[in-house]
Amino acid sequence: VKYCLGIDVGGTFTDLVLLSETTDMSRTAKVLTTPADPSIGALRGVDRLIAEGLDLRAVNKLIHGTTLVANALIERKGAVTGLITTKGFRDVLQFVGRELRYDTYDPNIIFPKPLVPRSLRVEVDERVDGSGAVLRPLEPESARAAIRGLLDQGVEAIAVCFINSFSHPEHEREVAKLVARTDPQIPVSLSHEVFPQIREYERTSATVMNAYVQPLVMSYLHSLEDGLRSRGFAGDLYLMTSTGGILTRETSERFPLQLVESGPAAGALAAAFVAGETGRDDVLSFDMGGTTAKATLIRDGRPLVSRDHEVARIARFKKGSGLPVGITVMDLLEIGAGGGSIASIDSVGLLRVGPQSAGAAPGPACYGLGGTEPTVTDADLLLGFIDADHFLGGEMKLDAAAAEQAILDHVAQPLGLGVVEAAAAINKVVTENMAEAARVHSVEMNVDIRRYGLVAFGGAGPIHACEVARRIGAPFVLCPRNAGVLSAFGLLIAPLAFEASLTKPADVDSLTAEAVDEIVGRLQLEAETLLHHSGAKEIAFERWADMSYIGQGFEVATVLPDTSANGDLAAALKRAFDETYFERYGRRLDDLPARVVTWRVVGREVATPPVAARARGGAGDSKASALKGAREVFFPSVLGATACSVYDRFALSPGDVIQGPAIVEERDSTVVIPPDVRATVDKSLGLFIDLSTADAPTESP
Amino acid sequence: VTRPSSRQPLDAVTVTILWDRLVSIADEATTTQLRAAFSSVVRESNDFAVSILDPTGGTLASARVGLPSFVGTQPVTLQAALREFPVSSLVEGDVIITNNPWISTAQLMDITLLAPIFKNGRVVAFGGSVAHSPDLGGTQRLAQSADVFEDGLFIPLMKLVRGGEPNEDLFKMIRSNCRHPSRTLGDLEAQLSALKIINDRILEVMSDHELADLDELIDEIYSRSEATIQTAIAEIPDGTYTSEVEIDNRLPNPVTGVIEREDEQIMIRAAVTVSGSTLKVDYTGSSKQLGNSTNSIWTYTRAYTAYTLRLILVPFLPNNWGFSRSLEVISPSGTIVNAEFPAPTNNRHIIGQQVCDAIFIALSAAVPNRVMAPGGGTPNWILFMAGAERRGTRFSRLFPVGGGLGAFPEKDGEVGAFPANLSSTPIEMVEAEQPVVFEAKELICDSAGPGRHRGGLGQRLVVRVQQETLYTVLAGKIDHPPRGLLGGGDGRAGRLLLNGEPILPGDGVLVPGDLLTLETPGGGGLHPPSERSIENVIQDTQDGLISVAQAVEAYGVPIEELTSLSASASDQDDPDSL
Repeated sequence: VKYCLGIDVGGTFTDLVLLSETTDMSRTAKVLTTPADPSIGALRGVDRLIAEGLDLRAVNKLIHGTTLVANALIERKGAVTGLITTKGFRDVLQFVGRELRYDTYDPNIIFPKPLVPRSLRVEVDERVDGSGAVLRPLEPESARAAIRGLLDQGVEAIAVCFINSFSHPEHEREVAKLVARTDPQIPVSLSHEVFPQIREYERTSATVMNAYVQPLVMSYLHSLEDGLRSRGFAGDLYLMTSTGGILTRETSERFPLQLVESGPAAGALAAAFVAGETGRDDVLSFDMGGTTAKATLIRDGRPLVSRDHEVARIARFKKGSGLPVGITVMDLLEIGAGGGSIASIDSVGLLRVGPQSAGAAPGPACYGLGGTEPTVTDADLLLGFIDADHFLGGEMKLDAAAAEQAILDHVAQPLGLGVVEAAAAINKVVTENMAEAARVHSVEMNVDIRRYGLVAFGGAGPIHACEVARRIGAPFVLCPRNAGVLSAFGLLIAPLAFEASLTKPADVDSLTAEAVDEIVGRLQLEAETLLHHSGAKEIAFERWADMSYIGQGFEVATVLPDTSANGDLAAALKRAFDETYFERYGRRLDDLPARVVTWRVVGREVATPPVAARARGGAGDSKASALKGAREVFFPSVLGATACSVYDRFALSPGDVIQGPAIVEERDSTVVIPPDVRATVDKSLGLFIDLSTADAPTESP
Repeated sequence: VTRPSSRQPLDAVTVTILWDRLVSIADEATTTQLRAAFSSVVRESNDFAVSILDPTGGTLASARVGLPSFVGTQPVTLQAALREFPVSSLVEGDVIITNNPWISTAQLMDITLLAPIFKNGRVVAFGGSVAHSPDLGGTQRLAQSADVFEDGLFIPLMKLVRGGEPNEDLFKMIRSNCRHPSRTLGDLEAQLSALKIINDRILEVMSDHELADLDELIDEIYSRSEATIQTAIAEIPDGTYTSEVEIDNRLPNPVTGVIEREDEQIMIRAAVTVSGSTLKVDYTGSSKQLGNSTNSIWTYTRAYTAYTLRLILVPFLPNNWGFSRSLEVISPSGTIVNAEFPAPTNNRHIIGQQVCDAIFIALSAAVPNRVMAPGGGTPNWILFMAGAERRGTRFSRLFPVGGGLGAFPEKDGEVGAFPANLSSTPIEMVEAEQPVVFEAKELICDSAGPGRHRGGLGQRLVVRVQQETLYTVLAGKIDHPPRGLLGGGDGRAGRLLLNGEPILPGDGVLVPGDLLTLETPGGGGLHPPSERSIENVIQDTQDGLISVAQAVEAYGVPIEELTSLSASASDQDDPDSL
């Protein structure tokens, strides 16, 4: 029997999921993450599975998701990095992107500090113009001096980003050769390889990030793979990327920035998969944990992507306050600060929830770890959504008195409310905040959110899902089982994938099928070579052109029409763009001329996920009774207490129906089913909660 | 039909939820407008604002992004509109339009749309949207219009839509008065879709919460905000605080071709009087209006006065009329802060933005820990270029160039534009389309005003054209550098050079081989430089932001502390190293 193993290293826990490739056997494990060296925790998890009888030699394929890259950027724990750039442009990073203040009303606004200090940003003499013509060839002596200067200052990685290098990469390549000659141990990131796209700030930012995390990722993967091999692992090691594909270790080490949202992307991918299993292709994945709540729009079964993703924001929910990654990343919108969000009274005497968060330490007051400020989790406890004795399967006993005190002091008394009323108020406000964030984002993506159901996971997701869903008008909520290890499961269904792209601006009118074939063919070959080399057999390609109407400063990704078809390619491309633009922005500008800025080819391995993925849950444990008790719950929408049945998630079987109000508990998450709605257990043991028939806003035409 | 007052009063939690919801609706409408807008001025330079207003013309909520001046002018425009079209005369589906500078944004290029929201036959609120139009005709030599008629098409208060029916005559008139009608009309449609979103969402909220009107919510929002502001004002010691800001006078009179009143100092004079919980700003004594377009109008002056006071008093309070109505602003007619019709106002930001400096300087004595120093991003520096693109068609391009912002109350200044929050365009995007090569875009060493908090650094932008190109530079603080406050030093003045020779802001033609250099001013510093930590001075020296000489002379750091610095830092000492 052959297996595949997914290991997802998260902020608090490291989750493992083992699936058989041929039978429907599956196994999971959860261990604490070891932040100093996450490979220790990962190997501990592997050892636990070995102790339970796993022979690591039988694992064909191991897929790893990691927060290493994001954490290194957030905590600024990357390598001492040098940047080599065009004369006159060492300050591209310092100009904080576009010189835009992300908050017009903050008189003390803080911009993210560049990852490379000014003293390690050096200029060399070279220049290429906007048409790709060389104005000044690279001056080798100036490049050698720059390299020597950086090495003398002890840099551990070098990023090279020249102006317009996407149209003439030779100068960057020359510098790479010179570095290799001077010190072959120093990893070099070239902007035309990391992110070969127009816009100097974004490209420099991406290249610098890649260099900054490269040494760390290399040594981490080295020790992880060593640890696995010494335990008998002889299969292939892959890493999850931010777009929901996987890459080999070799490619990941060259482009570690691709791993920046590795873990969250796996969660959204899994949400898309479980929704797809029930025949639902348009959903919003809603992942709410202790420190964050994330939402991803999934359309036609595929998570949407974002091209303006940022990490390490100074102000958590403010766009523009972070470092742009440039590269395509799954659309992972942070819509809230999770269960740790702190409730407080603001300057006009009203209740605010978040954006401050108690995080994991000190955490909510009820954790008893020293937190005294009231949080969403404290409110959920007082409302009866969470059982103080059952949190994390009872591993962590919650302190209801501390929660009550915190809410009394900071919310109930200032507002003149009772404690339970105050808890209900916190719950209402946080729900409203998340729903609003999701709604505004859906407008931005031009998605009619009222057609989208919610797939809820994470410890707190299924507690809040129904109320969030009602507020945005979602027709249903789906809570997959094993919500706590859903991301690790997502790792196992990800295909090998790679995106090759290039900025090569051209007016649509001037394009011929031959010219397009030449560019796209080159990109396709690049993706194909890399994927074949990584072990992919059958590959499917998507071809895109990022286009705009001439004069506009932003582009819209458009699917390239088939160049081999007869007829006028330029006209077909223009039509495709006009349609895409209309779909995205609801406006027709057909009479305006258009242009292509960037070309992209996405290659994806065509593969079937392991068998066990589809029979993930197995049958319910019918020996035990699902109904395990009852308790009083205060639903914010209902006056007073409601008597509520409590069910054991693991004892439910396909076809079971639970009438709300009810609580369904599993080890590390709780599903809250409000009054007047009904949940059905589907064949994968997911809870399907239909809101379309309940007392919820109906979809407007 | 209004419900009798017997209904339940709104509780604090409902107020929170409804208030947040209003801001979120404005955000959603903003997103809608941005998505549909053609103009990159709107999309990339933030030149727009969306608000929800009350039936009498106060602002109830504004979106979290948007130009502060446009946020401030919308209630003024609505109040003027309601005098022309009393609320009882409005019908469902009406949309009012104007770009009259004297009742809106002080510039013809900005179009304000306002639409009543009806519930049960009664106006419960208004939606408002202002956006910089991609094109409304007028001269392309922006610094040279002699009156408002040369600025472009003037649209008085009119109905763009009457009871849901587009006013085709007006659309036709607009269409035939601009160079790129599809863009202008397209952006108008984008504004209309924003107003539709506001209308629909407000009605949804009202039905969700079973509200017949918003009156009680409006009272709650205004009274809570007003109380907060009054408390903040009361914390300022009573008194009258004055300031003078001298303005560069370098733009010739477009009729005579010479600089007017050269022997006179052109001044903004401000007196801020705080008495208990009231605050009054009086610009009496400011210079008489100019014959060129360097003139503000009271609407715009008032908007930036309010913005600056908000930054000082209640930066994190969501914007609304409860704040604005607490302020009294006096802008005498016929002066540079309130020019009389038909003055040209294309350059109104030069004056209107520097009122922020006047307020900061005046209040620095009263609230030293809350003011920003004047900066080099005030007024905004903007480079316009027009000529033939690489592909041969004509282009015109607006390129904002940030300056060093004045030191912030609690930290060093940054690089950018203030108070308007314009973003720059990636130079690669410009070079891909236009035959232009930027030789440098870099910080200028030693340009920041020294201080415990130093200013932001000015930047040097060097432009070379590959084909003949028409340019306009709008700039300020070339003659009068950004001032340091409370013991902080001045920032370096701006400079404008053509082939190394100083030139005046305004229009001109560049031919291949010409080198145009814009050096934006550095921000003023706050508090004495001697109070800056030595570590920060050493760090700045290491980063080449200040020279060893400035570290020693301005900050008094002993030279021994600096000798260990690497040679690479001192390479950057020469500001003309290009």
